[in-house]
Amino acid sequence: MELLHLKYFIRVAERNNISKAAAEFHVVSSAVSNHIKALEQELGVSLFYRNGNCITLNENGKILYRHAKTLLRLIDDSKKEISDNSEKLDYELIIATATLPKLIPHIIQDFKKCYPDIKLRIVQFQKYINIDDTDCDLLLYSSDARTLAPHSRTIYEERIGLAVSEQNPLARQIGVTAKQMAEEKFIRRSYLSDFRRLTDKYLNALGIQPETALISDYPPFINELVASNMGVALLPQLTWLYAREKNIRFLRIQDVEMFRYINIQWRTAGYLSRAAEIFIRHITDYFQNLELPE
Amino acid sequence: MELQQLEYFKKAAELEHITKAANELMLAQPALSKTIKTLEEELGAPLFDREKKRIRLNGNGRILLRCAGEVENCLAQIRRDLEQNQEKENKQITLLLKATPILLPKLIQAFSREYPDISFRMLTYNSSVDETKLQYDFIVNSSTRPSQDSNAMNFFQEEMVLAVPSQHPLAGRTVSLAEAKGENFISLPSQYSLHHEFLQCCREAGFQPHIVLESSDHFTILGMIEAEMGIALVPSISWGFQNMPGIAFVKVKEPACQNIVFLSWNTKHSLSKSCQRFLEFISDFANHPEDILRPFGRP
Repeated sequence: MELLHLKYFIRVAERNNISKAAAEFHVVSSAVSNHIKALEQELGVSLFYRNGNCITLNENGKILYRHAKTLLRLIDDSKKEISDNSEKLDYELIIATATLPKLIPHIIQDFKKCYPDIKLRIVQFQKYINIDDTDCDLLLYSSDARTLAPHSRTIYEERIGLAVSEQNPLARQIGVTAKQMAEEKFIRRSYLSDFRRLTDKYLNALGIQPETALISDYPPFINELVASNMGVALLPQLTWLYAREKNIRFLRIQDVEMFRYINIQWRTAGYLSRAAEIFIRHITDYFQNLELPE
Repeated sequence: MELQQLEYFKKAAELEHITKAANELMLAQPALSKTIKTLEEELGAPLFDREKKRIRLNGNGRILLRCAGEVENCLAQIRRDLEQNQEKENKQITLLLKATPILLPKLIQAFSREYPDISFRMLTYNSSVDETKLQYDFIVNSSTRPSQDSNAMNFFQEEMVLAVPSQHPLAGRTVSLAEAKGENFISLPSQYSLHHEFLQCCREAGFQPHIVLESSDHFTILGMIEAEMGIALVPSISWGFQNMPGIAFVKVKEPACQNIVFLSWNTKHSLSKSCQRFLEFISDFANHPEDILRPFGRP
């Protein structure tokens, strides 16, 4: 068996399509088919259901897929461990981010300043993903409570406040009461968003059923709409601060403390590389010493 | 890195001796040395400390040796799991049911008494699934005519009869199907072959039936007949309702409506041993149906 067989096999299994997988490897389809055929011949079983262009794993394929992922990870991990052991750290540290799009560049910049030799790759996700299903070493994500998940740690408790336009009369205040909020129109995230669910929970607890001005899941859009006084929005403090929007005021909510949590998670199986350890330590310190700009 | 390189490295690491390892691997010694050199170059780190005549595994080598062991276990596990799955699949027969003759459970029961370790999986056919995507060994189907397909075996033949409420004027008679022209009919839905057989028989009798209800459940159909909601053309034996009170079965003398149940096999893969046994069993049944049919009693 060759590792290349397994790499092609995994990609085909994930794309359900030979030509798509081939295109991603920059090879012709027949090359990929041949590798898959060789693999099937060597193992003496078929691995896929074939139906026109669509091919899906059969029971044998599912068995091989699970083990093939483990096998490639074992080899990848041993390369990293040897690199760590010889103090080289010459591999790529892959970080998945599912939160704080505005702040991540600052964090990366800061990390690069301290560890210029560690190669980084950042992969963005829109939502929480299971890190074990990816090739990523670390995952940054937010949640509505401190994490209890294994191999993860909460690194920041982020306040949620009310963003209002400078033109809004509330902008002259420092804080806002539940009663005042109840009278505003809200620009809200859609039901697909974890943040929407979290803020709905807080609003329900306050007995507020907000009037919706607009729904958007695109943060720059939300900021723009708030700035032009189309409505107010509940926003996490860092998201707001690093957006550096002018014409927006961020008000503390007086009746209740609203928070969300920023967490870092690493893979539950396999070797945690030195670079990953360094990054976890670094980002923990980063948030501990984070000074919020005025 | 290649799996073979790992295997070679493992042997050299365990023996800490290139020549001995090369001998055991049946390789020329320079070939093994070159493999290890290639690995060291790819990893950018030495795996052995070299002293005059011998080699000693270093820290990096120990990491790779652990990995090589785990990889070896993983490969062995792949083979074991695939074998186990093959065994499991070989002991399972998947039937795709396009017809649901009640005698099928009886057949499977009798087969299972002989081969208790072979299990069955039954998929119910429904027109929304793509048949070519399904993995099955046999299709069970029925038709008014024997299947001519060389990959099919007609294993049971019976007359179609009219099932009517016991107080119905047709009860107790032998009739032409045309006499039932004005009746309300209950039928299986159109994804079942019996639905089309029924329409075909009526066409031959020269009328189009008035269908008041479609149900895929035999008990529901017979229950509705008993409740005088309508009558139905049903297989005389394979539904197994001969002794149901409240229902009378009426012989149809013309047209001759037959229901022929057949088994066809999937030609996309060869038949497993279990499937071959099942086929033999069904073929025996086709020749001597009495043994299994006795509990049904012919009407």
